[in-house]
Amino acid sequence: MSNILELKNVSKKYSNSSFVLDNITFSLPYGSIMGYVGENGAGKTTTIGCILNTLSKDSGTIHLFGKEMNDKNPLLREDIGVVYDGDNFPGYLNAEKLANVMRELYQQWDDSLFDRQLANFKLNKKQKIRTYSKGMTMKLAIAVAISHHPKLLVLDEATGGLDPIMREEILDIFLDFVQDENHSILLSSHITSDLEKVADYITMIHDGKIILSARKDDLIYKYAVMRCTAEQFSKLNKSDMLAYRSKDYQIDVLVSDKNTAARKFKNIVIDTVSIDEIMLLLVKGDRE
Amino acid sequence: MKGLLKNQFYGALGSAVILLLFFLAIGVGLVISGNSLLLNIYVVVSSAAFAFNAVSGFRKEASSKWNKYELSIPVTRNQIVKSRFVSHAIWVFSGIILSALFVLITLAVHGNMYFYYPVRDPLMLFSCGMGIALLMGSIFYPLIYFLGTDKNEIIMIISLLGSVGATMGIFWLLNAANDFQRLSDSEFYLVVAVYLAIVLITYMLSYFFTTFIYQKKEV
Repeated sequence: MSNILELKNVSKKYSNSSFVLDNITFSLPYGSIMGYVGENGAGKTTTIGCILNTLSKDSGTIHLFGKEMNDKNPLLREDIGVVYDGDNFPGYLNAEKLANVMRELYQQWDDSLFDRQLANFKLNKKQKIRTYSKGMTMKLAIAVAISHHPKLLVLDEATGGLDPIMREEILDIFLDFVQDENHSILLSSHITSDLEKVADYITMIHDGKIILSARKDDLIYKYAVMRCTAEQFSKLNKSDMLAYRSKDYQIDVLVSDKNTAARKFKNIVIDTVSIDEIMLLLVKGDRE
Repeated sequence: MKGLLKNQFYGALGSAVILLLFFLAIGVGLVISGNSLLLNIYVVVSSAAFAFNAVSGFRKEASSKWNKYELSIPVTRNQIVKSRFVSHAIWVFSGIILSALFVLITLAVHGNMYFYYPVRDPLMLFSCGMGIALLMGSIFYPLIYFLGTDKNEIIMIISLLGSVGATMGIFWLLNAANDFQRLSDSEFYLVVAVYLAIVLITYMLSYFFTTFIYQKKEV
């Protein structure tokens, strides 16, 4: 399967901060949604900045549609739709004026599609963006991102701060978008429940490093957590566990193969695990 | 780039309408009163004032993520900077056209009681107005891209004072080169041409310098 987006050993340092994006490597296949998860400050926005060329990477390669994007080939951006958290567009515009601007910037701008999206989202074309609520701003940004027929959507915390009903609506749009197998979405978020609903792949970042990149179904159906006593834990091999975390009376151990663990440790309680819990174990627990 | 210019026009529109109404009112006052001092100030100030339309849009854009967003659309950083300079020049020339219109009407109503030299004097006034306004942009854009939009106000003040100071300095140097003697027509036109050439070259160099700064800027 070919990839719409490939990052290999991407690193980035800031001169005025100790944060380091450290050898980020992952790829997003065509026709899929990748959830890019991590706590605040983990490096999600820095990664997206490097992908979109708003930040300059120190080393590594980023290929979009098989090509490296830089400032000299802006046409590649015809195929990318971007949604940032918060206000994407100047407040003095309204949707109608924004369409006038975008029509001149994107060769494939589709007015009828944009109008349909606005109607879908119940957005008034004449209303100034500065008077929009957060939800309306995000809906408008998604409408713009989709209306120039991109192949790749890059969404940086696009569902953060939205109520569950609105998030559901927007997630449905994302699922609809990837019905076309040439389309993909990179969705950065710390709301893992959204990603559980729509993502095909989950990549977790912590302190600027990728700590996990796997198919979502593997995480949900194969990964598991063993609830161990201290005695049971002492008998485990380090190779059996991905991470562990001590709680009051038990130690939770993350394993990558539920069936193997169940066969091997018959007397240990093994539970399925949510993406949230995987992230907590990998971030807060000790990793092997 | 057309889309960028359109966006900048929409951004400037709010302040431009107010400024236009203000200068129309002053222009009407000028035509009625025929005041000589007002005419001189009107010509020099209008271009610089209209140039503020272009630079004031920066702060409005900065309050959203547009500066970051526009890097994800199919334009180069060079085109973004170019659109700023083109937009600035368009506003400067709008100011010149407006003031020229009211100067012509005032001359038609009151006759030429303003210019001792009918060509030299208005040429000097309009050249100074345009020069100050373009120099203002030459100072403003590299500084705003280098220091950031949160320093918008202070950069605007520095640009205005710097452009006035630079204009006075250039004319002082040109006159000093002539030992502050009275200029013949040909010498005068040469001085104005040299001043305008300096202004235009500075404007172009500023564009290249701003592009250089913005190429390295992380947003």
